[in-house]
Amino acid sequence: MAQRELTRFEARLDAALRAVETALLVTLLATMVGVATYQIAARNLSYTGLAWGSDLVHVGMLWATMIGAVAAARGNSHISIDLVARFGGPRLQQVAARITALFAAVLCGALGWYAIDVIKVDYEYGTPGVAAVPAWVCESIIPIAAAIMAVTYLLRAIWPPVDVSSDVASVDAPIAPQAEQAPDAEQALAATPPPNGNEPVEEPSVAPTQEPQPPSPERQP
Amino acid sequence: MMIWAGAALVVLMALLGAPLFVVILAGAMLGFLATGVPLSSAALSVYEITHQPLLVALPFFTFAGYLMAAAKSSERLMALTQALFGWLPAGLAVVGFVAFALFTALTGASGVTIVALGGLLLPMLVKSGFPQRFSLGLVTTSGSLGLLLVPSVPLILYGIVAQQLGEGEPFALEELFIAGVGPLLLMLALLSVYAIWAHGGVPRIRFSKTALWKAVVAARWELPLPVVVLGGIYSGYFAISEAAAVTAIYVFIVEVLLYRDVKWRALPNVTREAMVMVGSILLILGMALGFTNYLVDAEVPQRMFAVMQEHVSNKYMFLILLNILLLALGAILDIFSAIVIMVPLLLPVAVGYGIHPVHFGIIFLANLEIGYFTPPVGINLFISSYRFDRPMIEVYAACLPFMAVMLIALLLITYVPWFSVWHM
Repeated sequence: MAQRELTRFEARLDAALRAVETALLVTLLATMVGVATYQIAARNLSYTGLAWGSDLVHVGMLWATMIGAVAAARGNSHISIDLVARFGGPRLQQVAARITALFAAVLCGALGWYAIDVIKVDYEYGTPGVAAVPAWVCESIIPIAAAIMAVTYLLRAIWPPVDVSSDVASVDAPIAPQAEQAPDAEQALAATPPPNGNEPVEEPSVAPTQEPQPPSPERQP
Repeated sequence: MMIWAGAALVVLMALLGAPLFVVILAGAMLGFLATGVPLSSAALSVYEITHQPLLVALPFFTFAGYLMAAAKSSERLMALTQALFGWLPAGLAVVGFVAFALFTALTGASGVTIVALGGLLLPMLVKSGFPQRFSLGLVTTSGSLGLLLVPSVPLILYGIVAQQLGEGEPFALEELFIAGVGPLLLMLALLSVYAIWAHGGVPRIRFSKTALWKAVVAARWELPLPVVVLGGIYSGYFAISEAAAVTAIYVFIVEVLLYRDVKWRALPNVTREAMVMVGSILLILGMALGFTNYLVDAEVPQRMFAVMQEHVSNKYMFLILLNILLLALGAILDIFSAIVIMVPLLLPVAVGYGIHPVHFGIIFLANLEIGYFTPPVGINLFISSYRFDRPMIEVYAACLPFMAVMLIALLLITYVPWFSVWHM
């Protein structure tokens, strides 16, 4: 199999992408929470509020969804049925990972392609979006994110990640980060996986950084 | 012919482990091709998620849950429940059930309950005299307890999907929230009775006012949380999505500013992980909205109902089949996908048999809850086996008695609608 280590440039690029995603997600969530709370306060205190406030929150959610989905695609943590990954042999796992990645690349490509159609229509009709921002701008994240995911999956199909067993993650991947942070957020941060976007673990990644350990003495009755 | 070949390919890809959003997207596109609907509908349905005002509750509650998971909430919750219930016969087991249910409602049944709370409780259980196997079974099965309790994200998601379908009697999300409480209490009661029956002889811990006071003081900022989540909704000051935003802010203030459990520099990562989770759920939902449109246009649920009626004459037969189907599905499909894929198919059929959508939702979620620890592939089994370093076979065996108790609860919930819909 054409497995290989990431070059230094690729690792840096990956870290940069990760940082951009994180920054966008934090900004979006903070804005959504802020605007939603302001709306409640304004309504209950002075019967006012931003006319476009809730629209902004909803579009923020769409953007957070798509950017979160891109991050999930790069970390290979999208929800999937993982029978093969659990019970198949390593050979089958590798083949399945490549085929499904190719399938995902094609479908994401198609999604992006047809999303452009939607945008064209809204652009021509000048459909209103949020406040002064037209709808096509709000929607633009769909083809952008779909395209990035298509490329991500295509690369994964051509050059599978160094450790294919990271594909085992699938269903429980969303758990992994929580599990990392569970005992101590700081520790978990220190132990954040190196920025190649794929969990560098051999184990089915339930709780990558956490060894089974007895609770510390002060937790005992 | 082409369509069937396509459908076979999609199923094969799903089984090989393709991301589920891609699988549903492919299914929806095939359906559109077959019925002559423009394929851009698939892209449009992603944008549709912005037209579902309640959905915003998901990112907010998920963020709050991830933040609490990253903080030391689990320890405070454990100390508090222990001070409250530890003196009962088999008290520590009862403590486990209650604490797990509360924590899962807040953080989702994503395994964090087993990892964080289980890591605390398992050694305590064994040390105080419960057998290893019983203790292991308890922490594994309880990891999904609490799915029926507000603000659990699957519960909210079911409400949104069911309302979107508009099948059967309309209901308010608040009614669904109340509906989940009875069945959860039933499960807690049956599990506690089982624990007391099996291991009531374990030495008890004496009730201590000082310990209770200490635990209350330690948890003082988190104790108002139920009021924050529910008070606003039921008093009418804010809608559910707003209550979620307030919860997110409140939990942020408590964990980051007051307890300082979560450091500022850890926040971006916590946020990222929460949003990645939300992204993967909502993208599946977006795809499923398109798929649902196709199903409704093609009258698939009606046809299913017609076929079912030929073979399944009454409601009770249907409910048994439903339970079996969902138990199997719950073991292989994660709960969010199960909701967005199966509810649009099954709810219309259930309504056809005269089942209330709220009751159906509770049955659906209770089934999936058990699916989490159904051998051989329930996700909790893997998490537990890995976290506590026990062989899978041992985890299976440990879970079986608990599964039996939960199945009894499930049957009661299924055939006695009163537990779920007494208030409606």
